[in-house]
Amino acid sequence: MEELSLHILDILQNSVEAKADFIQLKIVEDIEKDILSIKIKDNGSGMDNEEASKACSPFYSTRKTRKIGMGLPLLQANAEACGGYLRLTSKKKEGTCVFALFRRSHWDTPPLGNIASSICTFLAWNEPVHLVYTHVVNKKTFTLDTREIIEKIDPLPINTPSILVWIKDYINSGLKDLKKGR
Amino acid sequence: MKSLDELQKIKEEALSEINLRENNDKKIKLVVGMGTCGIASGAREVLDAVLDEIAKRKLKDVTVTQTGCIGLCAQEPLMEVWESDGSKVMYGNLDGKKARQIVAQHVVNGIPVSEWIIN
Repeated sequence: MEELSLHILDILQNSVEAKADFIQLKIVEDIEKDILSIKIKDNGSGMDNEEASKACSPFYSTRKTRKIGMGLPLLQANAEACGGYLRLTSKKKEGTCVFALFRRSHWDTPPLGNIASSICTFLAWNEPVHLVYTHVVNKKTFTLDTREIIEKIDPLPINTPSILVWIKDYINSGLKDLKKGR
Repeated sequence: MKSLDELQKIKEEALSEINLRENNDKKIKLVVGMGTCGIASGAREVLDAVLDEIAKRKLKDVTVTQTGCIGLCAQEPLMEVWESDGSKVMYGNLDGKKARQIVAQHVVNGIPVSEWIIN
């Protein structure tokens, strides 16, 4: 994938397919420590040790249509090619946590890309799922909690197009503030 | 910095337009394939374009949603258009520009864009 935000969108889908209804996404950019990390933690069905150990193989998938699943293996390969790693922790019935670390300055580290677009795309999913998105740039933080938005727009669903377009602008302006004065 | 309070206005606008069309049962559903295959070939841009077009045209009887891998990975990005009578048309090899045209021609005017339909 050309952007890390596309990987993020992909891994978020895994969480929904695992029946999660609460997902935490945390992105940390730290110039001093030279890291860019992505953590996605859900309360989905989780995996036992055996499943978790296979999840990063492209020849494993829980899907019935075919036996190949590329999401996690692609992210892992990408992180490892950029001086980082991927760590997967999961517990049956409790949820899964995917943590990927990239060296920010590595030649091959892809740009973060359009995070706002990934999140809006994700929220267009028809299942009700809460997402808390935290983005830290050099210790400054931006947070988006979909529960706060849902409360404000009730009874409209969050995947109302005009709401999603607003959320996209909201994230973009929040991230712009974060990166100001670097 | 934008404030969450801005949502109030958008909500009121959206709700008033829904009320106007309450007895309009012509609802269309757009479904974009968002498996790893879809994402890698540009499905996010398709969904982005569709949302933007619908918000811009203030279409209120259209819902947009997404699904996992549909199984036609070679023709991603894919989008299905579901009519209110349950019939469905599937488009393939899309991009943002084609998606906008589908909204304009198929969703608004009811004429499917036959050259991009796949079976």
